[in-house]
Amino acid sequence: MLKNEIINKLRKIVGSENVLNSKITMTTYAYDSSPFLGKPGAVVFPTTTEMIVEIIKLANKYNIPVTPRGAGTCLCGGAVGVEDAIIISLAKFNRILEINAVNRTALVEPGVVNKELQLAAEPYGLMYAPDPASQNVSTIGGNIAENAGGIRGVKYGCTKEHVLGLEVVLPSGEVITTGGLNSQVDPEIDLTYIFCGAEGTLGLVTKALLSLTPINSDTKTMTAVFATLEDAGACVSEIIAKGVIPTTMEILDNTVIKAVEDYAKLGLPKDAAALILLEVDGFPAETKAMVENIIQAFKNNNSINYKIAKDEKERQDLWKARRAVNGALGKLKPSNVVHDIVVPRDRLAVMLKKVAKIAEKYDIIIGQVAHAGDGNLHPTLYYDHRIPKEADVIEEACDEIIKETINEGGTISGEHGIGLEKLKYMPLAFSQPSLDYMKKIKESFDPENRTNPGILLP
Amino acid sequence: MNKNVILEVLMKCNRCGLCQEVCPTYRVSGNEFAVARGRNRLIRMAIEGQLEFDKEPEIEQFINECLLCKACETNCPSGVPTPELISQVREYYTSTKGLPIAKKIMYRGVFSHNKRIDLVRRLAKVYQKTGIKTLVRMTGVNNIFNKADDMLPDLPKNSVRGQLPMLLKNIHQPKYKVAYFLGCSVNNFFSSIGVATIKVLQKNSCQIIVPDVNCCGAPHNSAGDQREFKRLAIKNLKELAKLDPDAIIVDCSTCGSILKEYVGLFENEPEYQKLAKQIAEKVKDISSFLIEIGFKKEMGEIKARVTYHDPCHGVRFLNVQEAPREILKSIPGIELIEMNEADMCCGGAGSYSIFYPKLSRQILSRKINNFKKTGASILATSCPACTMQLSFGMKLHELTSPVKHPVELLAEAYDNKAK
Amino acid sequence: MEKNKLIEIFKTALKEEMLETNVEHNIDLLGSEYKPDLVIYPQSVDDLIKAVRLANEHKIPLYPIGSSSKFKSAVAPFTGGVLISTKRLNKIIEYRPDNMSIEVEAGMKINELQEALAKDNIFYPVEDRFTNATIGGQVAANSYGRKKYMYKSARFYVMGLEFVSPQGELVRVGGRTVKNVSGYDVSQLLTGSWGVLGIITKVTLRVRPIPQKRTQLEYITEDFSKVTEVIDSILKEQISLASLTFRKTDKKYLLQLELEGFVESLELQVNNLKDKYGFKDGSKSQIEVNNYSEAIISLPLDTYCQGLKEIEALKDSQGLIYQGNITNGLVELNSQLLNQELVNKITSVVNDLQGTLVYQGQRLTKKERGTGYIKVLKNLKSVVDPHHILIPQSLVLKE
Repeated sequence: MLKNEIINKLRKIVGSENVLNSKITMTTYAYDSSPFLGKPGAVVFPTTTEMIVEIIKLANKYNIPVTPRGAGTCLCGGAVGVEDAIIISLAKFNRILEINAVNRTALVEPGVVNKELQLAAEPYGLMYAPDPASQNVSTIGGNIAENAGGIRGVKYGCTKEHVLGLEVVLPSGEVITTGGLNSQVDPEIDLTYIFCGAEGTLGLVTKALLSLTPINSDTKTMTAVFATLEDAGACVSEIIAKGVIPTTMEILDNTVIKAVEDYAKLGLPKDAAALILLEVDGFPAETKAMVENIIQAFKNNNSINYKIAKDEKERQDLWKARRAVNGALGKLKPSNVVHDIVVPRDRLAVMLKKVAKIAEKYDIIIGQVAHAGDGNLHPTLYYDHRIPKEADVIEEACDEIIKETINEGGTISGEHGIGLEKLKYMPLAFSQPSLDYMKKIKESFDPENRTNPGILLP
Repeated sequence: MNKNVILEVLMKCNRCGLCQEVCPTYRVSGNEFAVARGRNRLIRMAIEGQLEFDKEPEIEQFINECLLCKACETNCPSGVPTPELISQVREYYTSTKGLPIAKKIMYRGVFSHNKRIDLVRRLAKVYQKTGIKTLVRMTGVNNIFNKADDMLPDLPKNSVRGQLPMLLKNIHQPKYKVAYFLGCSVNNFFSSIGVATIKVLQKNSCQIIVPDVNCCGAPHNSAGDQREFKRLAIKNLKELAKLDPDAIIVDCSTCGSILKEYVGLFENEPEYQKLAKQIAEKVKDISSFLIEIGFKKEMGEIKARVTYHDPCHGVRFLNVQEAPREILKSIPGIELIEMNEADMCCGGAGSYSIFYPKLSRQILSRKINNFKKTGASILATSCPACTMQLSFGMKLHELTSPVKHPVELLAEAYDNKAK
Repeated sequence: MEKNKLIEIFKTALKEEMLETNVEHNIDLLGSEYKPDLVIYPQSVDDLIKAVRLANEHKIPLYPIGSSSKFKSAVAPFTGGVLISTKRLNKIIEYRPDNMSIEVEAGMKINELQEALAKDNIFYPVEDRFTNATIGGQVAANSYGRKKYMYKSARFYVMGLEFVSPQGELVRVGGRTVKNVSGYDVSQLLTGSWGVLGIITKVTLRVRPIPQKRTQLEYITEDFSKVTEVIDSILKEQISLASLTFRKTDKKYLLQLELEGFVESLELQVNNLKDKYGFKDGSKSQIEVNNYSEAIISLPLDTYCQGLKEIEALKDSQGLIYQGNITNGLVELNSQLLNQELVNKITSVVNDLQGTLVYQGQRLTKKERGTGYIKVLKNLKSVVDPHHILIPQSLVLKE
């Protein structure tokens, strides 16, 4: 618990109604969407950059760690903070400041919910391309901190590819502006991108200048059912090899299909080994050509049947079901671990098979959903945390999954981040000199190690 | 409260956070303790023994601040029945601590007794129409009830029950025989809805019986007063069992939902549960019933842009969503436009607006702002509790748009034809 | 330090054939204001590491170069020190067409890279005006080409890097995957860092299928108001726009529009543009703006036409505007026609429009990034390069 003196000073900065520090309220800020828990000292809700500067300066003066928090839907424990940290919630710092249709940009405060930005951009025929499954609740600030991907990531890329500039409060309390609209005509180092994916450890984003993308006139959403994961994986590879860049391409395995169908009731085939859900967008002539190529790939890879969504409602239903995967799987067993591995796309089918084998080997349930288009798999392992043996087995299975990923030339986190969850895998993924270089970056931004400490670097 | 059962259910929540999107208390406050996953976490920690229900007043507060609107459960990928969990905790508090005095007076003191509600209405009417109101306001006594007097609509002179002799007609060769469950709110506060319901049903060849029921028990249930809830339920079931109608019509979504919930209430009492099931099967929301029987379409015009607010009990408990809209669309001259977040709670939640005014008004403002954006001149809804809250909202925002039940508009359209 | 002493030091770890003192002969794009003592041509990454370690030990300034096409824009003239060239580090390390990725050594020339990819109908979308430009240089400078509007800049294609830290450690970050958020995005920090944070040795690039078709259209008019009208309108069209450029000769404006994408879509778009605006098939060679020319303005799209109007309206501005890449927001001026007064006026105009003006290598417009910006950069530089040997005269760390 933080001293009353500190709490009072925080109240002066943001107003008493924007400071929480009772035992019960702290309990509800001790979690995010990961299995990790923190023990906040206080939660504050600033609504201006100046307030955040004051909070940081106060934290510096009294040597208190700070942790930024958006919607608290982080999957790797990045938002829970260390004991007695000041949790700086950006939930109320949430205005969309400007949408510029000529520049195709949006200037937003970090607490803006991703979906809100989508809705605001729509009347201009624009969209904010990164759409993580949590988009209805997760915030731009959080998306930037984790370089969130999205279901549209295959074609449109992930968050960092849509960030043009930032306003950041550094751990020193100084405010900097990075990036901008103009093409570079004199040499300068752009610090915008080191903050993307920095998981809130190098400073707090207080404004983001984002790039918006024109919404394409024609969209076609398709599903195809397969009898084996390998067939589905091979189909994905073929689609890419044909030069088709779908907007999104997802693979769901049987465990996931069943769980999602229970929630969404869309008539998804509960006995299918794998389902591909994909979407293409573009000008009508382009989508027609792409659909033809895709259907060819379905046929070449033994798809049992395939469908094209006939109207917008059917399309929305499919995507709602897809976004519900993480939650829907929660009911299988009391606890679960979601992994976020990426392998080169030409190794996707192999990796799906390897994970299935690991499930067999350890006799556990693993549901697999993959952003197949960019080789990003989310194997989810289920267990009952009350049974100590189960937790151990899960740990071993996870280790094996990570090892295999690295063997396949992949990476340990595609979009969820390292946080607390994958700290122990960092030395497997990076050599000591590489980790040292990263430590030097952290050191130069945050020499006192107060900004969201304890995560990302072991 | 079966702790083990609750715990098993609670563990389905993996804190994905999707409840944040639809929970009204979260949308207006931005606080984790005002959303399903936060409330679930508190319940879980209390059941697991890390916190104590009885020693932490904030737990009770946050549990009570839930509207029980079910938006979270409907949107939850794991289907965690948070409102059910919350109800069980409230039941625990009520059975161990008893109801707070204000709720005791209101629920057990007044709502449980038809005659008393009638008396209160008549007194309140006097209060509204005379200088007593000013006097009371000067003394500040009304502050106990958080200025609830402000929220009262203009009370009608007579209850619906009082007008029944004049309203009910003998239908020549009726096509249907229906029982009309006349709920407290319609009876006492929004008699025009009741009058319209009777008119419309009779116009559509229904012979109506209005049984002598008492409060359905909704407020008692939401406060966790299970004992009183059961008592009222049994009385209603016995009364309704005397009849054999084709349908039991409700024009209040809340009453309709609660009547159906009697089935679960008597889980361990097979005699009453059997009765409850029979009754539940016959309960029909007026809009659904009218669509089913193919209501008469000969009507005059109402020229207006109308938007519909889905009562929580309508859209998420009775699964009524299309029927009221179809009725509105069938009226010539009405332009039906959808408002944003049409199915989000209005913040009324029965007496929630009295006991949690700040949150209630924030949620109400959000609703009224959504209404304003449609440019509609009439706000339609199928629950008198919503009607009360929304009318209050119009007052607060200095709007004159009326709040009407679809059946009222239908009755008006029928009248317009006659003109 | 004397040249001979330098050679002695490096000979302890490197073969003599890698060391070259006749600098002018080898590095023709550097001007005479740059007077390094030595050029080293490592034949492997190991050699490069050894060189860096020796430089650290003896505090010898090091300057990594590829084709040196961008060197002058980012480094102030100096005397003494060692150039370290990636010329012989130019192999393909791993090519995975099914993954649309390729890993190459930093010294590989862009045009050689394109040749290697073309066989599979794949390309690397960031063009370079200099035929000998290397991928390492492009990445270090975060280059962008004429078609930035469609293809953005180098950093959007960098999936991973291997580089040698200023202290001589080999760092590998990123990888072959298009999504990666394990640890800090060091690849993105090194990209566009102009060599001061490490010497890039390998780059893993994400590449794309070659577009089916490219079309160039043109529009000529003497009516300036028509020009701005067309520009405003084109930017609102839903077309596969790769670039929109213009050149002004005497009173005539030549607008060039480039489309790239699917054959069928382009056909429809071309017909529309011809009908609606009067565009014709392109007949002239492609206008190419020099991003680092002597007098160049960079504006946001929404104030671009305003900028053109205001400059045209200035007194003595006849013939001042030479050409521009509209979709990149660039306006290139005829620097011979500039005098101090005009420069001041234009600086004011560009400042008001939130643009950048660079004249004779100096940025004249203000850019408020906050005092913390250069501070944290210098901090970072001190931590990763404690002996300050890597490009000490870098212009990117100037206040």
